[in-house]
Amino acid sequence: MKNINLIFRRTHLFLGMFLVPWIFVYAFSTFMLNHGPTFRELRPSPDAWTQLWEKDYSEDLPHSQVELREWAGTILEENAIKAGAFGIQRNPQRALITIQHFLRPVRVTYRFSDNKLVAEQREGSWVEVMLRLHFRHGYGQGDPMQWTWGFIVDVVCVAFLVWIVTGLYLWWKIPHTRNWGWLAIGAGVVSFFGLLVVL
Amino acid sequence: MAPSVTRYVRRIHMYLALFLTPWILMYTLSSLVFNHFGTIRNWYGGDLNQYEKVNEIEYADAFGADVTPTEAAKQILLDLDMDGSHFIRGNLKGEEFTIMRQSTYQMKRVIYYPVEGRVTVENQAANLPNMLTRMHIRHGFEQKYASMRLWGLGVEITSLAMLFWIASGVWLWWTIKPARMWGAICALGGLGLFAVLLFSI
Repeated sequence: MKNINLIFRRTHLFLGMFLVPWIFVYAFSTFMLNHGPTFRELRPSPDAWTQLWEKDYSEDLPHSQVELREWAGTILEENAIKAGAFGIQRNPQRALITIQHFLRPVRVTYRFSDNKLVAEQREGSWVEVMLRLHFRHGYGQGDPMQWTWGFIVDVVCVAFLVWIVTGLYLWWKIPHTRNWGWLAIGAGVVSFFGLLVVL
Repeated sequence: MAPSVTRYVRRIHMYLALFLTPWILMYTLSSLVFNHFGTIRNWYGGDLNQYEKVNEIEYADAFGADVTPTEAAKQILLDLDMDGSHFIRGNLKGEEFTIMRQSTYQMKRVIYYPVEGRVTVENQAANLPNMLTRMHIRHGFEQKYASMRLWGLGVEITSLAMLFWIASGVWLWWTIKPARMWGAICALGGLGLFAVLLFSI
């Protein structure tokens, strides 16, 4: 029994130590989102992009999304732009390839009006980095690094479940804290579900 | 002195976690939904975002030129006896002006058609993934509704508690001498992996 107690205690602790950076990111970015207007003022303006290069370019773009993705992949490869995963959108004026790096995203725009291909990089901003880290999820387009991030998101989720289970076990093993523990659980459940009812 | 402080830190760490268990469970399950959205969407026939029309009323010449979209949304919800937290899409000059009325069980979509002079009310299909993800993304103190502000307070307490768990967890780790080495290895491993991903993605 002592062994199980120690295993639960150490699992609770070491999992926490390993995941400190992710827990910090999710906690602090949630705080930022909860105070949206304050932190929005700290973000660079929407047009804070620095031009990397501009080239003459002319091409009839395909209409299907699959072919458009292939075209975007070729453009990124020909111009040596590192992109594990990217997005591609087109409208009547332009085609826009976005590469969502955590630190400084890059975008490549093909403007139909003057046949120009323009690459730009977003101005660095710790506020935006925190938000990108918060919102990134899923296993992404086959890129190993994106896959690893998605896997870590799952690990964080499983870790929270493990913390709940081991935490309840460790609480129960301290008999003189049981009454206050029940009170904390009861108050938490009543306030949470009470809020859900009135929302 | 030190053992007493450690005892307080340990107790606050634990009771805070017990109190916030429902919040943590909600954020955990909803994060799993976000991380496996494609799979979960397929469980529901490929579309989690279906709406069904439940009401339609005439609503002609309702607003003057000086009425803002925010004021119009509030008035429409009051007229429908549906006032509560919401957000809006579009404006009164377009063909459609949409009010998304938030609630725990299901989202309600109210669409005002200024040209046609009518309002429709649609209910989102209620399902667990939608409920969880809606709870996950609700935050902030910008809406004036008391219930929404209380929810924002819950989000605030949870985020600050998570920061406290980091600080108190590191404190408690340091007080357990046999766990120092493996704790440090785990911390450095996590920090290293995080740095690699931060700079390479």
